Amino acid sequence: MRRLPLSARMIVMLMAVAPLLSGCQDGTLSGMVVFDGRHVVDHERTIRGDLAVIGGEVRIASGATIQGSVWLLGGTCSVDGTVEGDVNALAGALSVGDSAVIRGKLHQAGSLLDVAPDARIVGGIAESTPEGMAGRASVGSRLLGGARQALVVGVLGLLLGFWFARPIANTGRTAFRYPSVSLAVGLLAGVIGLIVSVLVGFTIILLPLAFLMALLGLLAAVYGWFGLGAAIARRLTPGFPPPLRIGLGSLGVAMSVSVVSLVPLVGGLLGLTVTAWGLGAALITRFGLRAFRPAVIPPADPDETG
Amino acid sequence: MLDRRSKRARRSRSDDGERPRLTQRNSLIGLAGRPSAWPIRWKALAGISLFVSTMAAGYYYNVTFVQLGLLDLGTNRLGLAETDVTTLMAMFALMTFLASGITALAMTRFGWSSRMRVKLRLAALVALAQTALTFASDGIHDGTGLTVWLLAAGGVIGVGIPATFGLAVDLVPVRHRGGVAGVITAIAYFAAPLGAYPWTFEHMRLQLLPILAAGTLAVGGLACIPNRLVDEWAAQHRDPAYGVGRYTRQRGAGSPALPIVLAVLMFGVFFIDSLGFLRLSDEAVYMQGAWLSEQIGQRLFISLVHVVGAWIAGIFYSAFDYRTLFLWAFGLFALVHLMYTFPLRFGSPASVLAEPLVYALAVSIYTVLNFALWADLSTPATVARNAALGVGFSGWTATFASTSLALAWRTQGMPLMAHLRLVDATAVLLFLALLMAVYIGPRRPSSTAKGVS
Repeated sequence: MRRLPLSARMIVMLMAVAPLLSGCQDGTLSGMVVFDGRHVVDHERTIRGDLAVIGGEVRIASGATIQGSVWLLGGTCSVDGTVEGDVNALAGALSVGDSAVIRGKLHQAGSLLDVAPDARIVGGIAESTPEGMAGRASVGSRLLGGARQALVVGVLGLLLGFWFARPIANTGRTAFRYPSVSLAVGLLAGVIGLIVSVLVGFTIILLPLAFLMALLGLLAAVYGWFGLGAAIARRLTPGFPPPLRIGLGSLGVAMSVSVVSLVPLVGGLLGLTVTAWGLGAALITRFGLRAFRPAVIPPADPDETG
Repeated sequence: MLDRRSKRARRSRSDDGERPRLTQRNSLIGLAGRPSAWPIRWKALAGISLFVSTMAAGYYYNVTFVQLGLLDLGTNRLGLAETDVTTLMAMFALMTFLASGITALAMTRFGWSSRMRVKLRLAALVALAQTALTFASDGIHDGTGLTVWLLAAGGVIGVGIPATFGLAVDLVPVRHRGGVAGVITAIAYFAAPLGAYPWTFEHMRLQLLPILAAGTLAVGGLACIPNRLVDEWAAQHRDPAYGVGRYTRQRGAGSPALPIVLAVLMFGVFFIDSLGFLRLSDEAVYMQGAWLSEQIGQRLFISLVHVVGAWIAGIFYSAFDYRTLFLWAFGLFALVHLMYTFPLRFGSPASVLAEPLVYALAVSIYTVLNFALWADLSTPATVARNAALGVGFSGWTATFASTSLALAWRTQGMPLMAHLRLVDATAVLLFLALLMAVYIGPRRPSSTAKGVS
């Protein structure tokens, strides 16, 4: 592939770096994140943007306004003022007082909730129980869930196989040819990608970006499964057309990961290792669009040994 | 017997067309012209094991006794002000750098850089002196005693740097340097969080004395007692598979300033690490939830992350090149210092295991570079000089500079948040500068070359 001229590369680089400067401008990011300690949003005070409570104790006093949404991920939060957006209580303890006004919805999933009778919740309360949580579901239902998930992955693999059979096959080939490089890249990229997504999410204003990053990561991991599935199915069913091979192989890999994950302690780790392996292969081949060539050590001149 | 071995070796290397014929001849027959007394694989493995154990023990001594134990000795046992102890440590770092430079100059001048027996004898002397110094450290009763001890220890460690790092060209094949560096890092850093606890001088001194004594006996025995194995190792550097580093193999492709550029980059990594950690180690909440946790599970977690990080870095070093590792190291340091500032932005310091995880990964990655890079930039004639430049200048001068700067900032009353933000900004700057250099600069020479993958 031909490289861009130096001036063009410098312009691309500057364009890539320049947006970072926007972070220096005061007021670009707004919102509030609480990790610990006691905090009170006084009456007449307005917080522009969202409020996220990860730990500690927060009280939104009567007369205070949160212009965005409230995210409760831990600690306690009592609402007596006005929240213009939604209140999402995912963990911790939430109490909504008589004078509270929530203009959006109150989503409750996994937190302790206490709502006063006179509290105004315009969008209503939506409760969802974490039934999918691994610890609580029975082995049968988890297997069923895994089978459903594997079927979706298999169908997706089949469909994608019609257009991207070659890149997917290249990803799988690379995973088996360079397993340690694929696994190392997948592990590092997976762990750091996850941490960066959470950090970006903390800024509140960049929450959509965090979701997008998480989604892209998930897609890349599933793409890695397609690659692994294609490579395995190629050995087992060499006569099948490529899309069918990819579909069947992906289904097999997804189902195997679900079954293996049922084994206590090591199961989850094995599933993550397989996923990281495929993810790494997808990344080093740029989703199968180029061949991965590891660095080579050039031949030496024997005279140089002194 | 020889024929069968020869055939096996030929078969195993049939896919390795670029490997020079010297490799087979030297390894099989022995460079002294006699058949080797040791099977090739065992001879190579024994050499690698010697290098790994020497470097891992040396590094463990450095990151535990020298960096943590002496701080405890100065502040808690002798009752010196922390600023005074830090100043002494900066002076010790400078002394180490000077001693390594002078030793490297002498080794290059007299041709000892390519003589393994001399390097091994120097390493044995260093181990003996370190054992004596560690034993005598119990007798330090005041600041003057500590100053004298640190000057002596700095001199001894300075001699040890070119001598021990220089052994790589004799003992570690070029193609395995990434993996070997990964193993050294994994051993040293797996042991450090578990073994160094609770970071007291006396605990580390008693723990390290038997290790040092055993090491002195082993290395001293190998260096002084004539034996065929050492003779064969000593001849291995004439084999290009050992003696010609990965980044010196293309005449004209690499810049002659490459070792200096890499030493500057390495200086940057050491500087950021040291400057950030010096301040973080003052925050009990960060330390007691991680490296100084009373729960062994948390320290074991950090140890295991170091092992995984070292394994990843070893693979990366072999499959990509040093630029990838530098980018990851700078990027991870930028990320982790940003992570440490997050709780401060919204309240007070809080301990979460995610930060030590990223920190351990970053440290493991650059440590692997440190163990592999200098030998790969060298030939036997230049390895002592490059190791002194790389490890002495990058590592020890960076420690000196960062310690001095941290002291100055502390004297000015700089808050933790501002300190971490400056470290973070430096890491981001170096990351972006390197990214630009990689993007704008010339293509990686080795990727286009035909060679041994």
